[in-house]
Amino acid sequence: MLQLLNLVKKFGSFTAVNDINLIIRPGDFFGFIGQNGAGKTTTIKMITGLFSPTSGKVLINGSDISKDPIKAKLNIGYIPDQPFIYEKLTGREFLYFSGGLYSIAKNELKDQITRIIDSLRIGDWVDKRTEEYSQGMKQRIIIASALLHNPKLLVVDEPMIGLDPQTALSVKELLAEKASSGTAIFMSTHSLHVAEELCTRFGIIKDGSMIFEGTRDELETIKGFGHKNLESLFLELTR
Amino acid sequence: MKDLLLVLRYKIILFMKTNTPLTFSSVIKSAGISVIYTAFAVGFFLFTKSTIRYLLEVTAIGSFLLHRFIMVILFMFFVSINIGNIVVSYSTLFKSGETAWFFTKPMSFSKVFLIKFLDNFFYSSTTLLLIVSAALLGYGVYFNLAWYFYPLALFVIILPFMFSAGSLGAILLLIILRLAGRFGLKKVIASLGIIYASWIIGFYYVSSPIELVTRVFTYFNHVSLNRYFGFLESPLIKFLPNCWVADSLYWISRGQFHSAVPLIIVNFFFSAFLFSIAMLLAKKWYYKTWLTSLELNSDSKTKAVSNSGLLSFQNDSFLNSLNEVMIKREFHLFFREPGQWAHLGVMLFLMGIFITGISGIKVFLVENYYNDYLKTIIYLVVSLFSIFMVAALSLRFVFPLISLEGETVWKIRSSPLDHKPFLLKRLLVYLTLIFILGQLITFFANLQFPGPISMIGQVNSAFIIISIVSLNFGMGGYFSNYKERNPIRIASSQGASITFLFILLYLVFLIALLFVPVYNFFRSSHMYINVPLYGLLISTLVLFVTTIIISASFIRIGLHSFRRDI
Repeated sequence: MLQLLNLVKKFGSFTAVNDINLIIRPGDFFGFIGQNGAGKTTTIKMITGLFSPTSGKVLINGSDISKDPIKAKLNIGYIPDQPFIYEKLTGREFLYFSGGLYSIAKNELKDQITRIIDSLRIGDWVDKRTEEYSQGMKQRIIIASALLHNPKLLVVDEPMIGLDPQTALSVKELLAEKASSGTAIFMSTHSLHVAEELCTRFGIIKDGSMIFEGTRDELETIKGFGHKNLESLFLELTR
Repeated sequence: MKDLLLVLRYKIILFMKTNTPLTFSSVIKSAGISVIYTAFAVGFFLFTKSTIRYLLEVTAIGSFLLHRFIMVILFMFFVSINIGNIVVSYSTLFKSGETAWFFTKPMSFSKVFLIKFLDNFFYSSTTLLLIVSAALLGYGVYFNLAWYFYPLALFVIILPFMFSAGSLGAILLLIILRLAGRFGLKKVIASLGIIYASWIIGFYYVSSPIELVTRVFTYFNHVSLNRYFGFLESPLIKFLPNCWVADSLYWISRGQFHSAVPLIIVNFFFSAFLFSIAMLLAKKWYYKTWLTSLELNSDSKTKAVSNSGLLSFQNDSFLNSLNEVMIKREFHLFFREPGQWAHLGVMLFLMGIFITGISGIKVFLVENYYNDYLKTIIYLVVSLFSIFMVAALSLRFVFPLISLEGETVWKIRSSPLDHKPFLLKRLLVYLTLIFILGQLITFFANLQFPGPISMIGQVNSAFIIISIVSLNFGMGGYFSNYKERNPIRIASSQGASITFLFILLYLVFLIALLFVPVYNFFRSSHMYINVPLYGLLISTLVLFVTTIIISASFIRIGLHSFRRDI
């Protein structure tokens, strides 16, 4: 579903992402972990078409995001780390707007929005302008907008920021359900507990390079060598 | 005082860091910008000098009328700074996150007001100051004035004049919000709007420039037109700051500095007086009005937005879904942002005044039928003012077009849509609106002139509008800043200033292109010989080619800018 081939991003002389190779298959829940400034968001921005790679390729369902961006992006649902949405639109209007960008038929879109409003419990304030929303409310609207077109790949950057415990739980359940139904998920997070709880595969990035990439089983094996949990391993690897 | 200096110091550091990042491309960019600014300043200096020379030596209107012409320009200058300050101050003094942050610090409200007011004033006035400095230089060199004229005119005459306009803007804003808390925002804005409009119309009525020119010209054969004809105009004019400044310059240019001194002192103290009033009101009202603005905001916000209505997202549409959501988004984002529609309203109002104001030109043209130079100048000035209106609209609404995607640009960029048609459609919406408005202004402006030149003017105007809108689109993209949410600040940023300079350069090009054919046209029609239209048609052809080049280049720059990393 997602292939990163020798992916490099340089800003002047600074290399933010250095030769990353990765394959994510349908149903994979990939946890992308790294310190601040390690290159996580830069990688995500290249996957979603917000940055163009200096070299290398990003293939989404076989389509190169640089060469065939429209086809590639049809398969992506993107949840950024900062919940920026149009402040003068209501949550519902933003969802209709997002659905329109993916050319979803109006009737289908109406049903889909009703379903998502229920599952994310946003019905009480979805008809108010988003300038009134808290960060968590905005985050929920963004999550809803990313799921409207049933993407094959969900790219998630720090999904739990600003969410209250109940919503965090429902988001985690929603993501797990999406992965089990075959959606590939690429999730960047600082929350090692969340990663450990949800992800089936892990990647650790340091100074732009992938220093660990493996499955839950491989992680368990490594953890056996004196590491109690992912946090301990992460701290050891990124020291 | 210590905290003010601290804030000032960090503002300067911030400015330096923002404007001098030491990378190769940014150094090249800054050097390019400096070259453009310098070239423009030199161009404006030469333009001012040659215009004064032309008016005094060729058309021989005399020093008094020249300074009355300057007085009218200063009035427009005052109004635009004043209105601009009211609109921008609302964002910076009342809606800015930085203001709220300062309020959490142990700092008095009047100091916060002072910081934001000065920040606002100098941020939006940099380009104006550059223009004024270049114009003063041209003025001083023409009249061969001593070196001390320049610092004196800039710091003691012009800067206080601009500061008066800014302070008055802040005062009006505080009064609007204070009264809005009691009577409602809409009523207060409508009432003050009417008062303000009456004041502007009153000025043109009282000063009546065309009548004054006619009166002064009755003395043509009797006395020098350089003498002071103040007795021919309404005494009310003498109470206006633009008159003080124009008269100060008049007396200085005549070498009678002692006559200018009282006017300079009045202008300076008037500015200090308005600033003190602004500070006094801020001390009493700033925090209260800030709270009022929050209340007014929350009143309009807490109501749930109706999902019915003509442009509701839930309604079916005959358009394809992408076009449908784009149009609806554009409409709602524009009309739910008071800064956008209010500013459009003000600009349309000023256009209305302009159109009303030029109705007297026909009489003037008839009375001066023998003066082809003067007719040419009037035609060009009227045309330039029409273009200037279009330029102001474009700068305000097209330049920020790409930046206004804002931090939500991630949604568009990560969606499966082709960015080129998306941006072109957005541009087309604004181009169509500005095109219609521009054509209307040109129509009314040209109504006073003979048929052939009026028709050609209409066609020229179409090309000029397309060029200016494209220029703003491209430059707006090149200097796009997705972090700035305030469209007015985007439209007064450094990039916008450079765009404005380009527009002025374009205006100079238009004068050079049109002057001879227009003069030949008026000369021929006056002498009852065959009117040679080919000169005008060739200039239209040149305009057509220029429009293609400018539009293609700048639209490409705009589209290309959207592909940059964000």
